[in-house]
Amino acid sequence: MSGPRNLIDVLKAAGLPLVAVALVLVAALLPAGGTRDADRPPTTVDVTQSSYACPAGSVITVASGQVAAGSGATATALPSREPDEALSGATAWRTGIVDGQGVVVDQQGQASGAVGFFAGTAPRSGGGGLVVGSCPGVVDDAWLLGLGSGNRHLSTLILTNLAGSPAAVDLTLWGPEGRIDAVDADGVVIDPYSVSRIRLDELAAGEPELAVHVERRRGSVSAVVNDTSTATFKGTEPVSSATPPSREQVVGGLVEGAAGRTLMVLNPGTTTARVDVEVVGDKGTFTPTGLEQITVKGGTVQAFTVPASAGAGAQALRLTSDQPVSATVRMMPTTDDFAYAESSTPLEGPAVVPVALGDQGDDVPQLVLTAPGAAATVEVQAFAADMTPIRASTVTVDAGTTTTTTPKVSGAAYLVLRPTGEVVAAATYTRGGKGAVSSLALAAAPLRVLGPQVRLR
Amino acid sequence: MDEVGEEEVGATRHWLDDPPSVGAVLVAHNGARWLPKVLASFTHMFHAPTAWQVVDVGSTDGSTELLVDFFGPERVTRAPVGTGFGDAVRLGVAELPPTDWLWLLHDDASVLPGTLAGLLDTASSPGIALVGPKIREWPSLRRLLEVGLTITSTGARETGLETGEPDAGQHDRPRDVLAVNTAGMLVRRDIWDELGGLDPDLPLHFDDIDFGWRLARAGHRTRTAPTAVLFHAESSRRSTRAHVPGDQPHWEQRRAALHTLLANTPMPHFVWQYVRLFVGSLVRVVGLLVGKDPEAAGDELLALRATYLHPVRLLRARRRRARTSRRSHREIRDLFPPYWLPYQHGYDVVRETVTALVKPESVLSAGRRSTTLDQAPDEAVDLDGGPSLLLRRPWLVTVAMLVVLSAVAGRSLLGGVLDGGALLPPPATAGGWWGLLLEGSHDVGLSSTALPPLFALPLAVASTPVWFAPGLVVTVLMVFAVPLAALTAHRLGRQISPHRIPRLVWAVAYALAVVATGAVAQGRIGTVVTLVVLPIVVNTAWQLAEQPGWQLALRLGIWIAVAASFAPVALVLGLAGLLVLWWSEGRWVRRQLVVALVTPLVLLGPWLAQRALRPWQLWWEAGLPVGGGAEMHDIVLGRAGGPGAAPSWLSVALLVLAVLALVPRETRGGVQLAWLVALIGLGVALAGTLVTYSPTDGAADVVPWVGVPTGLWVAGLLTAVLLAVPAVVDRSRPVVAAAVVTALVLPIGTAAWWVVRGSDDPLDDQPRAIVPAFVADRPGSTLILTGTIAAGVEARVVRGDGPFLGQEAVAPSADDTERVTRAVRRLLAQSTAAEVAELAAAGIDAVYAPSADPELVRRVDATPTLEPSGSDDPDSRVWTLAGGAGGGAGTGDVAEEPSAPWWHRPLVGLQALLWLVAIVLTAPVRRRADPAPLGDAEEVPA
Repeated sequence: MSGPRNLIDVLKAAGLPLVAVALVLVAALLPAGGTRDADRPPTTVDVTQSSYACPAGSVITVASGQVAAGSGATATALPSREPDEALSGATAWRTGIVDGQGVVVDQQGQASGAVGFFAGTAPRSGGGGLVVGSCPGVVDDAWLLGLGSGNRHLSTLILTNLAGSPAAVDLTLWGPEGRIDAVDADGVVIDPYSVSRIRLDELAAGEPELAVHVERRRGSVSAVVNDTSTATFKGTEPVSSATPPSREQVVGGLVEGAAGRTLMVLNPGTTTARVDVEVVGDKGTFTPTGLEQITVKGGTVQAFTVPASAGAGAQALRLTSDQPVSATVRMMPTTDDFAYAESSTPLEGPAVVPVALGDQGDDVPQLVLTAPGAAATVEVQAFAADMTPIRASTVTVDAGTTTTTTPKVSGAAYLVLRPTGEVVAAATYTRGGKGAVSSLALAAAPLRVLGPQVRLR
Repeated sequence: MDEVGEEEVGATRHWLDDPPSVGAVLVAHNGARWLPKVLASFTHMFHAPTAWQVVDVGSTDGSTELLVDFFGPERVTRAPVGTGFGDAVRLGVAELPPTDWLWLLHDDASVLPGTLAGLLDTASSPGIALVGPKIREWPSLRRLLEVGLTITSTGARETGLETGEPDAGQHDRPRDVLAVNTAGMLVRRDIWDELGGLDPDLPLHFDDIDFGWRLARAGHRTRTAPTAVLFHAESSRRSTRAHVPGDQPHWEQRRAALHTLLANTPMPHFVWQYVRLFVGSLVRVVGLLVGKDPEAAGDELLALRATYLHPVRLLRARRRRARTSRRSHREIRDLFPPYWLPYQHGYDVVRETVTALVKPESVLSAGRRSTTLDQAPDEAVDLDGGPSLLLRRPWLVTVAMLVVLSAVAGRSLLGGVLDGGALLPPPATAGGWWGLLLEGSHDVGLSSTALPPLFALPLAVASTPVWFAPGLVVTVLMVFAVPLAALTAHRLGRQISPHRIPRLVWAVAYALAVVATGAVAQGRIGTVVTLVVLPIVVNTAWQLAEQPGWQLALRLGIWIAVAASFAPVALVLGLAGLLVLWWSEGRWVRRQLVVALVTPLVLLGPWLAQRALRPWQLWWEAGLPVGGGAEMHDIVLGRAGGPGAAPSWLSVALLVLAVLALVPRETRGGVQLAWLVALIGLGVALAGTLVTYSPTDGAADVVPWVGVPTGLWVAGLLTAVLLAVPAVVDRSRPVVAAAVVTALVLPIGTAAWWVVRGSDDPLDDQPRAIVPAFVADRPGSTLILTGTIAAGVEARVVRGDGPFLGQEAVAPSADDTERVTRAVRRLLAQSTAAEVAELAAAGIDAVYAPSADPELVRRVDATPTLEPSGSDDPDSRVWTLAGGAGGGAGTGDVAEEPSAPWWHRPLVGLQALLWLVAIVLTAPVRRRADPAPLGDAEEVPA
């Protein structure tokens, strides 16, 4: 009898370690609570406040607008820091001539999409020509192509500090022969609320073709270039930042006229880039003869004449490269003025097209819409200065084509383009005299931005 | 007695040529117990009084008859019950013929043949108006009671003698004193008449000191006469006299003290004394209540009332004294004790109280057992033939060794305040912890109105004696965690095992298990404190099982609450433990278990509820919520994950032994119980690996640290092995040897690893630089940004150089958290001044990115009104707000300082009071502090 009882006792005693084993097994089978903290990618945030800076002067009209009415806006002339009432308010399209070197506009409002533009006609001594540009906000880095510092081609870099603390930028310059070691290009300081104009010939004289990379080191600073030429091409044109170097680039907004189109490609890397160029025309996409594959040595900016085989219509160029490159096209449809078409990204939201530009008239510009991929549509809506909608139309852009349209509307102060699908858009202005032309690469108004996910602990 | 008399006969007495007349007044009141001896002592005096008068104050015990028989009826005056001593003397003096001196006698004080002669010896010196004898214990003992008197500034009667000090002639030099006892007091008759005798307002106590004080102010001297010996039973002070209606109440003694001080203290010191005694009496009341002496507290209050509610009486008393005062107080200042004496007395009282609480077995009243290093009977016995201290006192030597090893292992932690891992530095002073408990809102970066963590209370109490170095408390806890845990464990070991060496090894192994989990190196002060307290909890539960009682149950609840305040998961373990106790002991401890369960719930109260709202937050221990990340095998082998844990394989032998411990049938019951406790620990620890908790709204989830339940698991296994020792000791030598070797693997291996590795890392003795020094010095809070734009940003708001231990547990309000989170997100999205203004409104005036993500830096840099500032590290960046915190940077509204709900402070106060009451209730009860009555046994001559 004692034998079995002993055995039962031992089994009972062994039960406790077995319970321990069972607990471990159960815990092993259940999902563990501890997981590695996963990445939390940025998500969109409604823009509630935005600032931009515009060059100003007696011959420059500054226009301010928005996609939706904001809660308020203030405009401050620089360097005087005097408020500019004409550009204040956020419920209308405003234009004005600001007495100063520049103007900073701060606009508040939930996803109002504040934008600013400047326009003017350059004096003949400077080459003349029509100038229409967008006012940039704070830039992290800007890639500016088509610039020059010699051979009667001169560019001036306009840096505006939008804040009360000093800002600093680093400048990198490239020429056809390679990177240019410019003196005083690093750590360029812009005083608080001031405009700094840097002639590129002070940094690197005698360069007919230049590309500049502006990299913000600290502070709030915007960058735009005023490019003038009295050389074989004449005129004045603002140069906005092209898209940062990448393997895919679309340069939209090439105006009609095959003459004088020059493609400038910057390869900031060290390896020679092989770039395929395609024309996205009104009928479709094709590779123009003579631009099948171009090569750009590392660390250089190269200019390529767009051959006649590309056609003379309004179009876009699509570049595919094995190295990150940046591109811009200089256009001389007439002998009196030239324009730039910077590479840009497809619109990610509503974009504003300025119409009423003060002294520059209120002719509706021609819209050059490119669908580099699939077909897309663009709703074009015209608004009066008081933001009253006037007329809307829809433009369809076939896949791989470029379409131009000039909305037939009068009394419009601005247009709002609302794309469906991927559309690269630009507006072409031909005002202000004979042969004057300017191309404005369109970008989505700042309604939403990507913000990081933040955790407070 | 004769011996003493013979010593005194030889003195030369010039006064005998013209002996002064002495009128003796004996006051009696129910003194029949002593009168036979007292009266007998009067019959052998070398020099007798000229005249006698006896005053009998309403005696009912036969004293009157004794007195009448001895003195004759004409020398006995009868006074009604309630007549004070002074009035009684006054009645007697009235019946006496005029004499040079008056000699006052008590019915409980006997004299020697030479007592009066000795007094007159001294009295014959010029300028002496009052002489007192050397008073010894009744009936003829050598212990001294008084050789002159004085009074402290707090009203304590001061004799200048040690308690029970024997008379070895050390006080036989006559000296001037403030006063002498009325028992045996010899006073010049003219002075007596001049001063009006004893104050009628002091009917029983302090009349002697008051008289001496007045006499001194009147320009006369009081002197002791050590050759005059008197034996005093002190029946009034010792409450040995039969009480009758009309006797003075107990509180009269304290009232008399207050009255004496206030009536005699000169201006302007009187004003200070008046306030000081009032406040001091209230403090005494609190102290007496804490010391569980409610009767004395009541006496204090009654005395205070009787004194301060009769200002007119006091005023008259002061006027009377002013009339006879001829000397300034300054001239008699040396008759008073030094100013610090009351504080020394206070220290003695506190020391006795603490001793009674911590080591009740050392005091007379019954109480709880000590949990500190002491000498239990079995440790105190010297072993025969054991020459070395190790053999005679193995535990003492072991503890000493553990202390030394702790110092060696903590070699990197002794240079400053501890910080690192989960541990935050202590506040600058203990006031920081008190402030955390009592302030309405906490300034911890973002303001918080959350209830403070209750572990701040024991930390505040413990650090108050070292006010300016509260880090000492934390350092001692962390660096000396092993000896502390060993001490508590060994005390428990005495309960559960009679085998001395095995339980010593058991205690050391448990203590080392604390560091083996990694708790010390990781700065897990919650785990350390809980594992130190855990054996006390089990010990108390063990005692409760043996002797159920509400006091033990309350004590058990308090200890569970202490552990749970540092590591709330201890509450879960405590509940499970109580269930085991209920299961093993049955329902006869049910009520006590309810008390033990409810007590921590009440003591932890709202703070616990605050944690319980997020159930898994119970895993959040004191300190930063740093995740544990223990794997299954870690827990099974007694490790809780993270750095600083001992090699797991060291515990394999323990597992084997614990399983084998279940084999012997004779010890299986206890071993199974230990296994059950161990399984609770294992189960809870494993459960901890399945959950996560979030310390605050929106914060990252944290994997719990499971050090406490893992420690319980190891402790249970160790106990199982210890309990099986009796079954092994009788086995064959190879079996015993194998078991011993296996059992020693864990403690020896762990100790070696511990000493070599050290107790540091990540714990350090240098405070972490949360923010650069120049940022910490800014008036506002600092926003610390870590992480990247692409993968998410972690934000933290700190005040000054960061929070101290305890502040991490007060979470900012959900509104503030959301507001700042939103502002930071927008700031990093669109870099606008409005968000900076929002931050400024939240009190933030600097932004710090310790390991700057380039994109993050780019975005912050672009923000207007944020100015780049210097930084202490090339990889870090600092920005300051142009307008500073609180505004000026933009349009944001300045946030008002949030105020806590009105009930927060009273609640915390109530909470502290509850702790106090609970602790006081578990302390031994005191009786009124009357000295022990003196017996009638004669001292046997050597």
